[in-house]
Amino acid sequence: MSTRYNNGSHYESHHRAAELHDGAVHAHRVAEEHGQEDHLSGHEHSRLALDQSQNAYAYTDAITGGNGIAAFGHDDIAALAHELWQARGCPDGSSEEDWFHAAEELRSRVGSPKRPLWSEDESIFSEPADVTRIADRVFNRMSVRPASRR
Amino acid sequence: MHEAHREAAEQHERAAHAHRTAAEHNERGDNEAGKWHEERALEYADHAYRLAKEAHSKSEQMVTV
Repeated sequence: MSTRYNNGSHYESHHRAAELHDGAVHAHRVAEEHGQEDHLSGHEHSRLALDQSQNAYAYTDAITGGNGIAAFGHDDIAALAHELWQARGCPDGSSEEDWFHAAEELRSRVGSPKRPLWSEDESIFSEPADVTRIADRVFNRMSVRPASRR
Repeated sequence: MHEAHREAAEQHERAAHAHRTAAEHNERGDNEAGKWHEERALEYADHAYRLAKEAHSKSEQMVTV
């Protein structure tokens, strides 16, 4: 497992994170505009903006290990997620779980503090099913599954 | 609510810039500077997410009234 800072995977991860934040910027600008015109439309755009913010934050948190230090990269997570998937008999429809388990495993290996991807006081995203659902949105959007699994 | 969305957008812009700056430093091998910008990126991302939740909460209140 690579723990280098200066490698392609970290470079790529930062740019992917920046793109997610760019998307959130746009979503919030749209929500701001629609909120001034129509409450219902504004509310829907507000929800979309919240989703974008959550995705961007989750990705930043994942690649920095929750403490601002990129201890491992995208490729490291992808490789371990693939191993976990194979170890479980290559089941269908569980790639997001493998991805998150891999990220957690890598965090524990490098000694990063274990921290949830969002605030502990966030009640609406506190259930494991919600975590899986959010992971699905984050990583499907970013297309970051191991290429060998496709 | 509008103000919270505007502030959230600004925080996301800063997070994106911090990520790109971190990438540049890491690519050059300047890990200390890269780490500093990674920390800023996480702070901005966290702040943006909190503002987004605040904005959405206010929006919900306006719809239900």
